[in-house]
Amino acid sequence: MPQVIRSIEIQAAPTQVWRWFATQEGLRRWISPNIVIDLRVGGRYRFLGPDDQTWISGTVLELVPEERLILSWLEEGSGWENPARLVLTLVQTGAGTQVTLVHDGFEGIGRPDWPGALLDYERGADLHRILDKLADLVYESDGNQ
Amino acid sequence: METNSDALFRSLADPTRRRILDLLVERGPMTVSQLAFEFPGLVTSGISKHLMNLRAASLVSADRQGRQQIYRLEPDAFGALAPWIAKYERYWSTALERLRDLAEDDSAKSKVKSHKTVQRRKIK
Repeated sequence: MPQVIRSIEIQAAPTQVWRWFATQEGLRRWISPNIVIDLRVGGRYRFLGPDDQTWISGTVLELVPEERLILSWLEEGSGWENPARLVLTLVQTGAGTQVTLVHDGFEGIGRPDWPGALLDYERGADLHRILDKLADLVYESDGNQ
Repeated sequence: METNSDALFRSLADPTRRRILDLLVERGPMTVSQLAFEFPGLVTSGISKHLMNLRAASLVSADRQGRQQIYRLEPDAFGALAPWIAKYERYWSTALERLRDLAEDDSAKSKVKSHKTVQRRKIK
């Protein structure tokens, strides 16, 4: 099944890497500057996605400090019936930490109606522009800290 | 194109059909009875119905060999998912680089930096 797999070697111990997973502020520095997340199992999160138009939201499915973070992943307004899944795992290596990311479950999203979803996009375009500005503000204030 | 894509996602929405695709990915082409063996809770005609649906969505194709139909994954079965995959591939490559830089800045004091990544360093 199609999925995104990425792995990176970080020259720092899992404890130090997890610092950037452990708080909303930490996650804002590398996942998205505007993410709002309740960091506990079952907690919800939301942020403006990679295309700066689509909001991503979901829940924390698993949270094991210094080991893994698993999120459900739903693109709002894209006609998805089911979420995809994001799995982040940390493994200690000799030199540091191997961080592996698996983004899968796209085959299960059950997108029912492509033209309909496009229409929703157009209707939501004005809203998106406002949210873009909001995201910029959040980004600027965070960037100055 | 829209209709192809709709059929694809409707077909993929069913967990049994996704499991059939997984099996075809893992093991290569299979007959209906080989597939049915993997689903003891389903009658063979139920499997055949799912296979018809997968064929209609251009996810699998069938060749007749003697009295058996051999099912295989279509080479471009998941083409409609490609835009999502591509978007996130770029996003996650840069996000993980950001994470690495943050974490390594933290521990820079005593450690030699030797950036080794599976990915290209920068993706523009």
